[in-house]
Amino acid sequence: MSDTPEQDGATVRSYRDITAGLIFLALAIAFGWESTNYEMGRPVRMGPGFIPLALALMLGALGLAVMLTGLNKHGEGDSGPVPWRGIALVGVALVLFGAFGRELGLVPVVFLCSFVTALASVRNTLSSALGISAALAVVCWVVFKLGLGISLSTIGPVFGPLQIF
Amino acid sequence: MDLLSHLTLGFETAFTATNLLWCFVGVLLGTLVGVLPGIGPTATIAMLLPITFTFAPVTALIMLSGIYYGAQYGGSTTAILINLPGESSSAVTAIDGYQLARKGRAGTALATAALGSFFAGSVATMILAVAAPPLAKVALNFGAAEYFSLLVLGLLVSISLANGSVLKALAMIALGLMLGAVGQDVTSGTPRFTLGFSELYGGISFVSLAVGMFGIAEIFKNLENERTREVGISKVTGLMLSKADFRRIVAPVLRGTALGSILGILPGGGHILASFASYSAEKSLSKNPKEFGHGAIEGVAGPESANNAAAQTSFIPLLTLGIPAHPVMALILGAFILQGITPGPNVINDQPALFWGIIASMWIGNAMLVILNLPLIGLWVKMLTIPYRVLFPAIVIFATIGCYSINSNPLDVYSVFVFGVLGYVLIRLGCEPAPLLLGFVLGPLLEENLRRAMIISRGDATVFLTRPISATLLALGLACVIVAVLPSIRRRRKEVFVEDD
Repeated sequence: MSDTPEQDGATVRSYRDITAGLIFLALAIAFGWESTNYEMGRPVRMGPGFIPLALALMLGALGLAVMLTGLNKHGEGDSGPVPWRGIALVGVALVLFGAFGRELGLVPVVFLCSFVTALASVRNTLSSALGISAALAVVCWVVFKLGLGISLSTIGPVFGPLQIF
Repeated sequence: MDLLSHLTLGFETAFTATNLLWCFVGVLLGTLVGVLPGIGPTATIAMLLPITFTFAPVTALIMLSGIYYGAQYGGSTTAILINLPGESSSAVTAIDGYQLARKGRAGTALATAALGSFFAGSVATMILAVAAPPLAKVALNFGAAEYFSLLVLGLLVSISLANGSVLKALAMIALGLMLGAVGQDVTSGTPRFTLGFSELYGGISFVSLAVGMFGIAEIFKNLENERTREVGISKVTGLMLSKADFRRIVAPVLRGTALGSILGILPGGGHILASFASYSAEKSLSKNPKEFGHGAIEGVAGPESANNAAAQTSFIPLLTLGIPAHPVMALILGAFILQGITPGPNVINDQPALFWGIIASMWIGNAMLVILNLPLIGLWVKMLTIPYRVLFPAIVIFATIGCYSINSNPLDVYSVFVFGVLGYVLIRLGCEPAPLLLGFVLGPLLEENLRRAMIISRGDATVFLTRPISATLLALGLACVIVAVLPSIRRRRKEVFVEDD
């Protein structure tokens, strides 16, 4: 996307490449380690561990290569700031959905999760987030419950007597 | 004639009320996501995959295909009206289309795009219908070794899909293959990499991975800097083409269709390449190339036809060989697998109604798209005013409900988040998620065929090089890597992928 002019020539390394390489390498080591627990077999009749180990070695080599290219390359411009708040709030919403979806039921869980998600945008205020989540609760009820007959109950068991099947 | 009876069967299948309805829903949704920047067909299809689980296979695939080619139409609307391509393949359309709109000729540009797309889509669908059966017949003779090489070729070709470093793309493929290995081993039943979760015995949920990598990661990226869109033109008039305009666009549409049909078959983002190739062809063939960039109608007609033709013909490798050409096709492959069908040469013979029904639905869908896109253009312009802050919670919640509803399993929802974060980190580090998804989908097939080929050849690994078809396919794959590394092509690719989604 952005082509920033070179800063300080070759001394600036591409941290993007180095980090990417490290991630690949770490994943390769983790998978490779685990795959040694499985039976290897021989080339003629490969065991369950044969191909995963081969892939891990490949990924490790590629990760190393990516890292090395990053060491002698000019640094690239940084993309925008990491949206920590957005990532955290979307994460909270997904965990809430997974953990309490069944108990709360479709409409309450959609309302709750879209409220949390909407707050991930700095442009949403509390009241606009409430509006969005109320609208989405209705839309999801129509689409998923009336339209597609999803197995989640409309209002979950946690609401006791209010529960609708 | 064989073809005629097949097509009759196809239209009989496609012309049922249910299939027509879902075809319409598909192209409608496709247009919508094509129009809205920030959400593409990949994320949409990933989100809707679980919902289609309850449909009949043919209905599900008709709808999902509709989303894909519908998005090609919608993308051009945004490109012309606000100079912001809704789809990467519409990036070229924006060059001259937006200039036309600024001159008050938005209607002409939109009509040209829609008619060109319709013509190209119809012709390319015909090509698909004619070319697929013989290709499938060839593929039926493939043994395990040939299939393995074909899969390797498919994966290596996908490097040309990736924007940037070839090494990173290769690493993403390897990571995808690795993730594909999670779950019970087919031959011995040993659970691999399950970390004690019995939910992982069946492998990582394909839908969670796709939704996380293409939907959620994209949202994180868009939240980095939230911009507001500005819609300059609120009223579009003059949708009728004059005779002079019509004469000017005939040749570019024909050339664009031909170029797009050929490039679409090649795996690896053919529709993006096709529109760029068509634009430069038109520019060099034009009598006054100086007009290009300042509102040349040929610059809209050619590329739009090309990308639509390519969108149709890119179904050929999937339907005949079972190899997806790009991420959207990988998702459609996933839809086949969810429905219990292994895509490949057998589909034509075993499920003729399904195969020909999909093809017939493409004509119907293309006709629907012209109607949706021309008279209803005002509606789509209105859509552009929906702010992103309203849009993304809807995307997140639809995706979550979709993922959860397949197995009612909370782990699927948590993994959406895990893959969303992983996808975001990797995208930020310059690694495109497309090769990873292809690797993930093809991984199990690759392993199975490799192991089978080795058993058949009694452990002789040279079998892949001594069998002629297999050797040719591998050589082609190697050529792809070499070509992708060549400096001149690298520069080209950089230009092509300026506005990728």
